Amino acid sequence: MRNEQLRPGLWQVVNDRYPGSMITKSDAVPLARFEKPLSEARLTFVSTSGVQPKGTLPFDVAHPIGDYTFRRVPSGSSPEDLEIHQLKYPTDGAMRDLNVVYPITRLQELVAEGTIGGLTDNFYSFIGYNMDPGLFEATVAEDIAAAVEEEGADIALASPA
Amino acid sequence: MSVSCARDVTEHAKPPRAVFVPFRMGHLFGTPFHVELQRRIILVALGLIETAEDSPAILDLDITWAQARREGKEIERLRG
Amino acid sequence: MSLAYLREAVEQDDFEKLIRYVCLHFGDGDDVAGRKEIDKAWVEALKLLIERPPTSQELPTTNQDLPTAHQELPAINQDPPTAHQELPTTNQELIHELVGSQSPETLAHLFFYLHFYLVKRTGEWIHDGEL
Repeated sequence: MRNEQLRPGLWQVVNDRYPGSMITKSDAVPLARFEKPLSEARLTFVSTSGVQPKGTLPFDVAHPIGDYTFRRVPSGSSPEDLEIHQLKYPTDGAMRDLNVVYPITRLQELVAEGTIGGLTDNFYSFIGYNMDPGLFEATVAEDIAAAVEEEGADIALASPA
Repeated sequence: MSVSCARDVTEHAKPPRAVFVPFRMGHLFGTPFHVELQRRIILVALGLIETAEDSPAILDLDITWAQARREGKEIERLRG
Repeated sequence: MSLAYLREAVEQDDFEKLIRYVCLHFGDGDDVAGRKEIDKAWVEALKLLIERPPTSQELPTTNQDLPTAHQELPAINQDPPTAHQELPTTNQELIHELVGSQSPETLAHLFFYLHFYLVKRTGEWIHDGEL
């Protein structure tokens, strides 16, 4: 069953408003084979939701070119330890249940029941509003990739907001 | 693997594995307190580790936003 | 816009493209709405400052410094403070220190932040999330 996205033609709309800002690739990212059972795998979560631990410097939603930093979110956190700083997506659902955009509780439960082997010590979070793809790749993307590898992640679950 | 609510954006970015959910932005994992749906989305995404044969592998989640909302409202009603 | 697009607009001095970008940012992708947001922020700033012009009088910083009805009135040449003088002025010294000590880039960044701060104060917040 193929459902339609709620905002049809989003890629084109955004690219019309912000010419050249939307990624399009000619080649797909290669598929990495994974031999370990999920029950032995260590998972990390990477999100553009702007979720961050309370007390950390808020993501900069005012800067017109975007924020090229990320935050580490301890994977043992509860939603009450976390907050969201961003302006570009509706947070009404997340304000009531953070798991709709940052399923940290669900992932903890999946580990507790043995479905997933474990979680990295930290999850990773940034905001999606950044207009310099080259700078983004050189900073946030590279830094998170390095951090995730250092933490021994076998699997990365990535989500926009 | 990734989750997506904009299939066209995902088709342009071509990640190796993705689950498309026809949901509203800010609700990639479903509706508040709908634990079963939140889990299902995660598990479907993780299932692509084994089932994806070639990149990009984009799998459509078999539920509409209207259905997710209906179920979510019922869950909240029962929570009281 | 991509950075390349913006840099090109700067090189070509294309004001319309640049202000449109600002308005798109303030309007979450709707430049007409963003234009209105700019006006809202300025009006809010004005409203906040109507009662706070710098004056030549040294004003008390707390209400404890003000004479009350049961206290002896000050010497004859002193005028008791009037209602609008009871409140402190804005912190002009901080402003001068900030402008004098920070880079133009930081001040421009602050300018954008203050736009959102002032718009939030109006109670007419069009954005989905939080600063």
